[in-house]
Amino acid sequence: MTNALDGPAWLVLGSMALFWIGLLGLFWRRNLVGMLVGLGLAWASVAGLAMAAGLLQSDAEQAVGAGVLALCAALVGFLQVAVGLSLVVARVSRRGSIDVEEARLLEG
Amino acid sequence: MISLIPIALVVALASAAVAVVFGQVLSRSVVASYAAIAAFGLAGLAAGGGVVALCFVIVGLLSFLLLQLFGWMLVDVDHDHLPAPTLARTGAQAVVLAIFAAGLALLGRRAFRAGELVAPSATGDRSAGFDPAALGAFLFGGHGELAMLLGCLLAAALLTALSLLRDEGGDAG
Repeated sequence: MTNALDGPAWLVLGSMALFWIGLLGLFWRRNLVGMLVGLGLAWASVAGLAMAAGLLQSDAEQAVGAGVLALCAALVGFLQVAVGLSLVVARVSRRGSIDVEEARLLEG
Repeated sequence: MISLIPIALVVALASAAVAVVFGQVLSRSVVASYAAIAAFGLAGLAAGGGVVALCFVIVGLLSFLLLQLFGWMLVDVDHDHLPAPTLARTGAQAVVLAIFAAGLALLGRRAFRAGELVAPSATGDRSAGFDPAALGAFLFGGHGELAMLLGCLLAAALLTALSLLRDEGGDAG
């Protein structure tokens, strides 16, 4: 296998593919916790893409900025999982089910 | 010689696919996600990510640890406890999986045509730079119509799957 891609370029492609797989998980799984796994993978790919963007920068200041962006993306993903889990816990305590088919409508 | 980065990325993507598609059991899904995050972080470290890659791994693993802990509270980790899928739902899922697999295959195929992504430097050293404009061309240039078609197909498949998932006249539970 001959390939001229360098490390950051591989990371960019890997992030895209990981986002694709995470999105598949979001639409594939019927279990609410399983959907959160897919969402977490998709967010990890966003953080990975920001990390790769930092590695692609030749300017040190921009590279640091992209690194901070990657950390922020990872933290937002973490918080998103936490909020999603709290919604799932509330859902289970109210309805006793994690089946997404039983959560079709938003209720006030 | 194949470098560590593509190998780690292949492991990460395979683990993520296992977590998503074959993860009917929560523990298996979360463990595969751990492997995916760790392998992706390893690729980042090998590419020179340093502290950012380490923080990425730590935060990513913490996210899935949270999912595992709360998942243990919510579900029996040995079973999914969902009703058996119907033929229509299985068909819709198969269509979605086929389109996603086609997208991944296209991405991989283009990835191995490496010259499109790397801008040649003045000295002719192709590994010296990564052209951001080439990345845009890689995604949308030349094959923009194909990307648009894939997007429409994807949207149609997802809408079909969602419509199949709705019960006619079911309660709003």
